[in-house]
Amino acid sequence: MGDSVPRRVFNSGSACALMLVVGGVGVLGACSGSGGGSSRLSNEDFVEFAAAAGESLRASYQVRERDGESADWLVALTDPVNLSSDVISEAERWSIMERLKGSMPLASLREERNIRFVIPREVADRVEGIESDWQLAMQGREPTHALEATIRSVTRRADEQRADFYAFQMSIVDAASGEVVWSDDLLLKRAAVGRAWD
Amino acid sequence: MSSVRELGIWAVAGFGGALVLAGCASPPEGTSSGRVPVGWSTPAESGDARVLPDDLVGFSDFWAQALMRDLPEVPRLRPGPERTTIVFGDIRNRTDYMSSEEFEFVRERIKDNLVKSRTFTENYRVLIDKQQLEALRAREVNNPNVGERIDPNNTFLMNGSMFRTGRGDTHLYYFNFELVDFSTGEIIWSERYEGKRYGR
Repeated sequence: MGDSVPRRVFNSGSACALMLVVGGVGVLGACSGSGGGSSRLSNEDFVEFAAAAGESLRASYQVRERDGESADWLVALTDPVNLSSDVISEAERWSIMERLKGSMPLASLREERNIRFVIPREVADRVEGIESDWQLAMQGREPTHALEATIRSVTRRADEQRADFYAFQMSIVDAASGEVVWSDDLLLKRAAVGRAWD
Repeated sequence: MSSVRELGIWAVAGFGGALVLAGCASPPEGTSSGRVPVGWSTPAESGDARVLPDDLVGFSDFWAQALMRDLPEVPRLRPGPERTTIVFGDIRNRTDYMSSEEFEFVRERIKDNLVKSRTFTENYRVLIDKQQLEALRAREVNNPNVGERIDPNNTFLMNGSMFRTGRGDTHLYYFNFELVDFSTGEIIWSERYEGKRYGR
C-alpha cells in the first residue's frame, strides 16, 4: 500500500520499437549495398549523341557534295524509337532531336546545301488543334526525307557486374523511294557493379 | 509469456544487427559504374557466356566490308550508267542463340556501313522495304501512296540468314547472303561469310 512499483524506464514496448528501427536500418543498409551503380544512359550521353550525330551529318559526303541548286531536301524530324532496355521518356527522346536541330547551321544549310528541316508531324498536329488556319498551311508541309533514330542496347551480366552496350542509330530516308541517303551510329558502353535498383 | 516476448525482441535485434553487418560488408571488386571505352571487355561481359557486344560490332563491320568488296564483282551488278537498287528483304536470325535485339543491331549496322561508303553508294542505292516506307509516308506525308520507286530490271532483293554452329568451346558465326533478281526471283549471287569465336 503506498509502495510504488519501480517503472522500467526501458520497457518491453520501447525495446521492441527500438529493435524494429535497428532492424529497418539494417535492412536498408544491406539492401543498398555499397558501391552500387547504374548502367542507365545519362543526360550527358543524350547530349553527346545529338552533338555527334549533327557533326557526322555536317561532315558527311552526302551533305558536303550538295550545293544551293541540289534537289530539295525537306527533312522531317521524327520521334526516336527506343528498343533499348533503358526507360527513355518521350521528352528525353525528343530532346535528342531538338539538340540535333539546334546544333545545325540552319541558314547556311538552306542557302548552301538546299537542306531544310520541317517541324515534326506531332507538333503540326497539335498546332492544327488550336489554330484552324494551320490546316491550310500544313498542306504545304511536304517533307521529302525523314530523319529517323533508333536506340538499341545489349546487356551482359555476371555475378554483381552489369554492362550495357548502347547503339544510337540514325538515318535520313528518302520519303519517295525509301532510299537511305545518310546513316551513322554512336556506340557507348556503361558498366555497373553492386546491388542497386534503378 | 514475457520471456517469450523478450526472446522475440532479442531475435529481432539479432536479425537487425546481422543485416547491418551485411550492409557494411566489402563490395564486390570490379569496374566502377559509368562509361567505359567501347573496345574494353568489362567483367560483366567476360563473365557472361553470351557473345561479346564488341564481337557483334566486329561481325557486322566485317560482313559489310565483304559485301562492298564482292558485290561489284558480280556480273549483273557491275557498275553501269544507272545505280543498281538493293532492297533489304528477308534477313533472318537463325542462330537460336542471339536475341532479336542483338540481331537487329547487326543487320542495321551492316546496312548503315554500306550507306556510309561513298564508293558503294556511287554505284548502288539501298532501300528500306515497302512496308516500312508506307508506314513512314502514312506518318509524314499527306499522300501515303508509294509511287514507282524501282526499276525491276535493275533491282535486287538482299536476303540472308545468320547462323551459329559449333560444339564444345568453339562456335562459328556466319552469314549467308543472297541477291535475288526482283523481276524473276532468280538467285544471281550467294555467298557465306564466317567468324569464329572461342568460348561463346
